[in-house]
Amino acid sequence: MKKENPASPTASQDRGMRQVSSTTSSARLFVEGTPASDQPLLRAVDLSKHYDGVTALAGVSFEVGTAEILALAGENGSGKSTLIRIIAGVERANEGTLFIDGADWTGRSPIERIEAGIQVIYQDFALFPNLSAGENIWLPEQLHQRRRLAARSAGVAMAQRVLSEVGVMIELDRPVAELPVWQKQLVAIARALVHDARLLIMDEPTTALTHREVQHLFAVIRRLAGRGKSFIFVSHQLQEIAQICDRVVVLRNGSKTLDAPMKDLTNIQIAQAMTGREIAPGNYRRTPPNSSSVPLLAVRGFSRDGEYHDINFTLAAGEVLGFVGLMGAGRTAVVKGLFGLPPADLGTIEIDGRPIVIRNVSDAVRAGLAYVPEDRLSEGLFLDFSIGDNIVVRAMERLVTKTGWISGPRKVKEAACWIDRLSIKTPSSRLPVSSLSGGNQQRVVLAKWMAANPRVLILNRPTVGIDVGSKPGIHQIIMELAAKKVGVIVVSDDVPELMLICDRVIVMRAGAIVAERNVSESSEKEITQVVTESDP
Amino acid sequence: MSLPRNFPRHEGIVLVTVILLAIAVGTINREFFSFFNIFSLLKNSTIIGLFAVGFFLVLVVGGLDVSFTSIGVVGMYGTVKLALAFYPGAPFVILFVVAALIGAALGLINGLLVTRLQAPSLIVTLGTLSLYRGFLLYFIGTKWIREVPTAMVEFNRTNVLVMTAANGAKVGLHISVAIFLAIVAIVFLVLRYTTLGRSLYAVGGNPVAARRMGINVEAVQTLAYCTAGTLASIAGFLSAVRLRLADPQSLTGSELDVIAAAVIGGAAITGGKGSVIGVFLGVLLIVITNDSLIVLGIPAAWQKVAIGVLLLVAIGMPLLARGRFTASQVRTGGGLVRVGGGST
Repeated sequence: MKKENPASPTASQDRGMRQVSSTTSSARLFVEGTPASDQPLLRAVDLSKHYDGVTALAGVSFEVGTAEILALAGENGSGKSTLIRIIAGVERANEGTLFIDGADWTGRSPIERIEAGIQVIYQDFALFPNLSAGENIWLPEQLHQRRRLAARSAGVAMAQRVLSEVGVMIELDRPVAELPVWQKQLVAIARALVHDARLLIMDEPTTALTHREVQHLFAVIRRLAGRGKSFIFVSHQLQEIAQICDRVVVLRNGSKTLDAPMKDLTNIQIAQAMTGREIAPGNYRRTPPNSSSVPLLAVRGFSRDGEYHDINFTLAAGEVLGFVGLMGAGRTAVVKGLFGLPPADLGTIEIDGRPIVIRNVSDAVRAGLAYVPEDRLSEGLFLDFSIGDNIVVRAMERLVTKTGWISGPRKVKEAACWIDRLSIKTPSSRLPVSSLSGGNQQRVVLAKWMAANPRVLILNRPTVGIDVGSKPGIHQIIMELAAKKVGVIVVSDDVPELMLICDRVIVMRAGAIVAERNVSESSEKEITQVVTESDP
Repeated sequence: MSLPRNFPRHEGIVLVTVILLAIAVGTINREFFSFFNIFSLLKNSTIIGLFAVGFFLVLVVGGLDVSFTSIGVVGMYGTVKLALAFYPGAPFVILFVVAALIGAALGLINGLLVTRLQAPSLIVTLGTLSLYRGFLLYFIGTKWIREVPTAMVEFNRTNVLVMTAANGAKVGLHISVAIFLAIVAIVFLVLRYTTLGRSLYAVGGNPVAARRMGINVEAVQTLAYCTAGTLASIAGFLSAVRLRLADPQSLTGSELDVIAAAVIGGAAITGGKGSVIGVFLGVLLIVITNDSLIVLGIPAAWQKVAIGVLLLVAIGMPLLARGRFTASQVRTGGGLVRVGGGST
C-alpha cells in the first residue's frame, strides 16, 4: 500500500520535477516517480569506514527504492551515524561505492548530493531559531538559486504550498525559536521538500516527541511516501519501526545483521539483530509492596493554576508508580511541582505521614526526593565537568572526611561503582560528560540521583533515546531500587514499558487524574485506550 | 495571520517610548518641538547613530565589535593627516572615500582576526581597540589639528533643508544628518530585502546550519566587521568636519551610549536579532534623554543613571515577554490540537 507508484503526475510532482539550473547532472534528469529506470534511488555497495584502525563500518550494502520507507536500526555505536554521514557526503568511505539512480556518486560533494535530492534531517534540525518559520523554508532555496534580492512573498507562498502538500499548518511568521519541537521538525521537512528532496534521511526523529506527535509525524511520512518520497528512518524504537517502515536494515558493530521486509519480521527478531543476543521481554514479577502501612509519600489537593488541579495520590515504599498522559496533560508539571520546579499553589505533601513543605529544590532534596529530568542535556548535567564529579555531586555529605574535606579516593570509588552498576561506557571517570553518547549521559544523570540515596525517585521518561539492549538495564536498576524500599515514580509515554515495571499507573488528562489502575488487574490495551480516549 | 502579528513588537515599544518621552519633555519645555531643537537632536544623533548601526551589524552575525571609537579616530585623524601631507585641496568626496577605506581596512583586520583565530570577538576587538588607538598616538600623532582641509570646513556649512522658525530665524538641517539617514536606509534595504542581508541573520542565528546550506560563514562575518569599520570611520570623520578639528583623543566615552542604543533598539548580544529601525529609534531615545536632561537642568551624572536604567529595562523586557509567552503556551495545552486535521 505504501509502495504505490503514482501513475499520473500530480501538481506536486510537477513541482518536484522542476529542474535545478547550473549543476544539472544526468541523474538529475531522472523523472521522479516514473519507472523510467530499474535502478533504485540509492544503492550502497560494500561501504567501509575506518577511524585510526577502528572499524566503524564493515562492508555495508543496501538499497532504497522510490517511495520506500526504510528503517535503519542499531544500537549506539553500531555505525548508523557514520553511514548517514557517508550518504550525505560529509565523510568519505574508505571503500565501497554509492549509487544514486544507478550513477556512481561516491566522489560527489555534500552539496551535489543535496542537488540529487538526498537530504538529511539531523536531530538538531539545523534551523535558524531567530528567523521566522517561513523564512527558514524559503531562504535556503533562494540562496541556492543565487538570487540577490529576497523574494519574500513568493517564498512564503512556496512554503505554504509545500506545507499544504504535507498536510499541516504552521504559523509561518512566527520565529522558529517559539515553535514546539514537532513543528520545528515539520519546518525542517518542508525546507527539504522545497529543495526537491526525494530521499529524506531522518536521524532519530522521534526522540523528542510525545506519542501523539509521533503519530502525527508518521501520518506526514506516509502521505509523502504516497507521493513518491523515500525515507530512511533511523531509530531504535522497535514499535515505531514496525508501525511505519516497509523494510528494516539493522547494523551491529558496523556490519549489517538484518535486511528484510517488515512484514516478515517480529520485534524480537529485530532486537536480536541489534543486540546479538536474545532479548526476552523482561519480567519483573515481584511481591507487591505492603500498602497497608503509612504511605511513604501522600499528595493531597495538589494544584497549580493553569497547569494541574486537585491531584491526589499515594506512593508506598518499594512501589513503582507510573504517570502517563498526552502532551499538555500535566504529568511533567505535577512531578516537577513535587520537586519545587515550580512548587504547587495548593495542596499538602506528606512523607511517612509527616507533612512537609516544598518551596524549592533544596527543600525537596532535604525531604529525600530526587528528580531525573526528561531533557538530560539541559536540566541534569554539568556537561563540561567530569563524569565522576557529575555522579557524586549529590552525594557529597557521604564523601566528606571527618576534617570536612572531600575525600578524593572515596569519590573515585563511588563514581567507579556507579559507572560499573549502570554500565556507562567510558574509559575513565575523569572525562567530561560531554564526551559520552546520549544514552550514557542519561545513565550518568540516573547515577547522580541514585548516589544520593533518595527515598522517592522521580524519573521523567527515563528510557527515551536509550538502546533496546540497554533498556532492561535501566529497568533492572529501577527494580533493585524498589526492592530497597525506594518509592519510584516513572513518567512515560511508553505504556508497554510502564506495564512492565510499574505496580500502579495513573492516567492524566488536561491537568487532572482521570484513571488509576493496578497493573496486575488491567491490560495494556485498556490503559492505552484511557490515555487516548478523547482530546483535552 | 494577516498583518502585524510579526511586526517587530520590540520596535513598536521603543517607538511608543520615544513618542511618550518627546511629549513629556515637550510639555515641560515648549522649545522641544521647535525646528531648531529637532534638527539639533538629529545632528547629535548622527555620530552615535553611525557607530550604533555598525555595532548592530556585527551583533547580527553573532559577534561583538567594541573597537569602533578607535577606528573612528584613526579614520578621522588619518584622513586629515594624509590630506594635509599630500593633497590639502582635496575635494570632500575624496576625503570621505579615504576615511571610508581606512575604516574598511581596519574592520577587515577585525573580521579576519575573529574568523581566523576563532577567538571571542569581544576579546579580539578589545585588543584592536587598544592597538589602533595606540598605533595612532605613537606613529601618526598626538596633536590637535585645527587647520583641517578647506573642503571639510566648506562642507560643514552645507544644510540640506532650511526652515524658518517661528521667530523668523533660519534653521538648517545639517548635511551629515542626510548622510546618516541615507546609510540607515541602505542598510535597512540590504538587511531586509536581499539574500545577503538575510544571510547575515542566518549566520547569527545558527552558523553551523548556515555553513551546511552553503553560506560562506566567514566571508559574511568578515563583511559585517568590514562594514562596521567603514561606518565607524565615517562617523569619526564627520565628527571632525563638525568640530573643524581633528583630535586624536576624542570619541572615547561614547561606547556606553552606542551599545545601549543598539540593545535598546532590539539587537540581541547573542546575535541574529533586531533591525536598523530599532537601532535608529534606540539612538533617538538615548539622544533625547541626554539632551533633554541637560535642558531640564538635571545634573550630568543623572544621564549615566538614566542610560543605565534604559539599558537594563531593554534587556529585561524580552525576558518578561518570553515568560508570558510560555505561560500562555501551557494554558492552551501546547496547541497540539490545531494541526491534526490535515493529516488523516
